[in-house]
Amino acid sequence: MESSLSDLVEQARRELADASDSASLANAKARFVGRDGSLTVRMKSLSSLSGEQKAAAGRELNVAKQTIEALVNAREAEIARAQLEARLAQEAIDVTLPGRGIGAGGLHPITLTIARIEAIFHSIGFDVADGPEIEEDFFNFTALNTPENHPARSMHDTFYVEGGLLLRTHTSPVQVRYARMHPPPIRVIAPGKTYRVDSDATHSPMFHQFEGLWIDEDISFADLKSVYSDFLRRFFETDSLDVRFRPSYFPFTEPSAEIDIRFPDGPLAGRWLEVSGSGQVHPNVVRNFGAWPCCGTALVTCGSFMKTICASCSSSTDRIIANARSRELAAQFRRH
Amino acid sequence: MRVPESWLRSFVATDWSAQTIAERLTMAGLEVEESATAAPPFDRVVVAQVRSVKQHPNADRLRVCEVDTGGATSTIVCGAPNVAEGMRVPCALPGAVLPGGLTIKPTVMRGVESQGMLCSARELGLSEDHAGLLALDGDAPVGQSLRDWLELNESVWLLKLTPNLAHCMSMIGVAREVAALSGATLHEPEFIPVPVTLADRLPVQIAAPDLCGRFSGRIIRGVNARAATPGWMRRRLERAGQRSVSALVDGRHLQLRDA
Repeated sequence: MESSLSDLVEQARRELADASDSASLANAKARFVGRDGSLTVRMKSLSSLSGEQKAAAGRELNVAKQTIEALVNAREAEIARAQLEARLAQEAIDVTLPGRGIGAGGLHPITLTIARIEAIFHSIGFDVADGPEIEEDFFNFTALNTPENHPARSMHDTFYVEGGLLLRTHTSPVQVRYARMHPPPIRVIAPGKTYRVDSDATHSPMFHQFEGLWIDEDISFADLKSVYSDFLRRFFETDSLDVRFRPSYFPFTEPSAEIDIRFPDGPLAGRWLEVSGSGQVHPNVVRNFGAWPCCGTALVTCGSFMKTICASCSSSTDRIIANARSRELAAQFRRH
Repeated sequence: MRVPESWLRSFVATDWSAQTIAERLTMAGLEVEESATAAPPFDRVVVAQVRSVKQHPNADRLRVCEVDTGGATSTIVCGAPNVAEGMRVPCALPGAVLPGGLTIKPTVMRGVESQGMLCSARELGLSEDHAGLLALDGDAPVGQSLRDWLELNESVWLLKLTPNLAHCMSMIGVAREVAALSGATLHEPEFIPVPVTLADRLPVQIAAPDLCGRFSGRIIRGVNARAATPGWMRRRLERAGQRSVSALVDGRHLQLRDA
């Protein structure tokens, strides 16, 4: 038994040294000190010995067990070190390589769209105006002939902030602010963010609009129609766009018209898409423009709600942003 | 505002097609937001009368009916609980294609030949009612196409009215617009006054005279509150988006939408 125990330890030393990874090491360990390992089996047989013999044999077995466990631990540490070294060698970074550099980035599709709209209107002599997004009730509603009981004023449609202010629900307050500072003739567009209490698959609580105002003598609804139709054709880069002006109602214009464009192809081919509201500025609104006289003046606004286009643009930004160049955007819109 | 074509045409005799009416209304400022027919497409469904009902020899829940489909008698096996002798029901003849794609063929059901199918409202896509056969009025002409009898080919338009068009929130209001647009004659509904025969008065006290300038009413006695709503009235209301409740309530809803 004495000799076979030292043989056993020698055998363990060899097998453990042969184990090349942690799995084969665990197997080798189990063969000796595992539940059915050869050393464990011997320890179980101790119970058949008498007192003196049991103590002596037990001590020897314990020494052998501790030796084997020490061998296992040593081999385990060796294997771990070898693995770490292999991994370090594999993942070595060549620090002498040049860096990746910084991407040039690009403008957001909405920024590009606004720039595109501004460029088109600039080219026909329109100025660009801006106004506050946190607006007074007077400029957002009252000055625009919106009656006290109009549903748009309700809490479910408008975001009110402290101090009687609100988030503008359209860009139209800029009309009033601009007209109070500039005598006619006025040719201006006002692009910007607007806010409404609306959030679902097709509505966003913040969306972009742009608004146009043209005030001059001897202009008529025909000018509104030609300017806006021309704008749409240049924006979408197509002469074959079907545009219709459909009678409608807004408190701040009379007469009023919705502007629809027709889907040329795709699943909705032939159907109309409402893109804008428009009309001739209501006399009550003109009175709020300020002191200048306006007799015999034809007044036109094209309050062009780029709502549909820009909402679809911002919701699919991730998709578009990769190819966000304005020509491609126009193609996107045409497909939309 | 939901406008069934037949209801509108009862007030204005225009020869415009349904499509023209929808287009002209839209371009006049009364935007037609949705346009649909009163029922999804199906064909070869006629008004039929059940002549006799017998228990199916091999099935507890089925009945064997002799059905007059207009000039011909068909044997049809039917499982509806409300099938009864004499009732008039929609019958899909062999060759009919129902909404959902079901094609009707002569078939043998547990040993009895069946030459068609008696239909519930849901099977025809008319409503969600599947409790039993769609019972037609007693004067429904046997043999006539169901689409013609119930005017199922008519359009129903959903108008999106802007706040300045409150005068179009009734059938006569929309009819006035159509008459003005098309030049067709407008038939205003005629209200024949019923002379007062009762001296009874309901004591009414106006608590807020500043809010109620006038109150008028009339006591009517001998009303049969259980009377069934006529089929045409129920159909008009349902197509206008108003569920039928009872003859009294339905009559009031009809008046509300009329003018």
